[in-house]
Order: sequence, then C-alpha cells, then structure tokens
Amino acid sequence: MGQGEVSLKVVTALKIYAVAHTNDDLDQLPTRARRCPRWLRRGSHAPLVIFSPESPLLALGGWSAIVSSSKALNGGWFVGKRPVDPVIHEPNNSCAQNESPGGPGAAPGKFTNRQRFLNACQCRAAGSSTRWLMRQAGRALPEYRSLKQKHSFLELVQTPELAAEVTLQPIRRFDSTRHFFFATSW
Amino acid sequence: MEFLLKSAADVDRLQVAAVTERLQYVAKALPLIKSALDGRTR
Repeated sequence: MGQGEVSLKVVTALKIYAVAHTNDDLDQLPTRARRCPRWLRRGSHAPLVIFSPESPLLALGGWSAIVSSSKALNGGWFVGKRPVDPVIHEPNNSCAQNESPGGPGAAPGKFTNRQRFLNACQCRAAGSSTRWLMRQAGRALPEYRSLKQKHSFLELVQTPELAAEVTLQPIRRFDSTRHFFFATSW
Repeated sequence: MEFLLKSAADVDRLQVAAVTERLQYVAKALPLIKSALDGRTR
C-alpha cells in the first residue's frame, strides 16, 4: 500500500489483526499486545469482541468509530478479558455447510493460520470458532473525545455520518499511515 | 445487543439473526467514507 492510501478492504484490514481461535492462541498474540496502556486494558471496556464466522459483515459492523491503524498512536492490541469458555459460538448451518479446503469440522491443525482466517472470512469451516480481537485507538484523539462528549458510543457507531466522521479523523491527522474502517455490532 | 460480555451466558444472549438488516448503518457509512477519501482507497 502506498503512502497516503487508505484501506477499506476488510480482509486487508483484518490481516494485521490477531485472530485467536483458542485461549492458547490469545497467549500467542504479539508482544505489543501487552504494551498497550493499562487503562486501555481494563475489562470494563469489554475489549474482547467475539464473533462466529457466519457473516463477514458481522465482523465489520459497528466499531467503525474507533478505527485506525495506529502505529502513530503508539497503541497496542486491545486484548481484554478472556471468555470463560474457549468455544464461544458455533457457526450456523449455512456457514458450516460451505466447502472449505479442510472440510466442515476439520481439526484446527488441518489449517494454517492464514487459511483458517480466510475461511472464516468466507463463511467456511475454519476448524474452530473464530474470535476477532479489535483494538481501539480513536479515543486517543482530542477530536474524537470532543465528539464523544456529545454522543454516546452507540450513536457514533450506528449513525453513518458520525461513524464516517470518526473514521476519517485519524486519517486526517495521520495521513501517511494506514487506517482501517473497522467495526462490530450485534 | 447492548451489554457487556462477561460470561459464556452473555455470549449465548447474542443475537445473530437478521444481521444484514441490523447492520445497514455500516453499508451507509462506507460510501460516505469512500467519498471523503476521494479515490485514496483500495
């Protein structure tokens, strides 16, 4: 990606994110995950966003506001509380029936991490339930905090104009870095 | 869904039906962003 280009492609964006399929995977996150500020790791922020792979769109939904790549923000991975049960949500039937290189129900070891990720994005069996871990960087920005004083988080996420604005804020500020439209919702 | 995920029971409460309809705001936001970026996307 060249200087100043902005990626809105989901897969491109997700590539840089850790995809953890089990609690053991969480332990394998890059060390930078552990460098994020303590306040960012507080469980009260519900940082761990969990999705089953039935819809790539689900992984794209709402946290649009928060987005941004963020080397410039000196951020780390936003890793939160671990779920109690490592198997969070099984794919629905429509997903599970899709073909995949390893076939539905294939053991996790049948896939490389890359293939597992791509399968999950395409609503195919990935050998295990998928969790998308998302980091948050936008709230470090003064302009984001200013907007946040006027609107709730969900208003920012669910109002297209506001979601677009907060997505663009880090792009305006850090023009030469990569930024991603990222989101989750329910 | 507007609650924190604190346990497996909370995860069970998640609704996955009609995802596309419920996430229409995403589809509406994307063109706004792409337009603002004026061709700098890929």
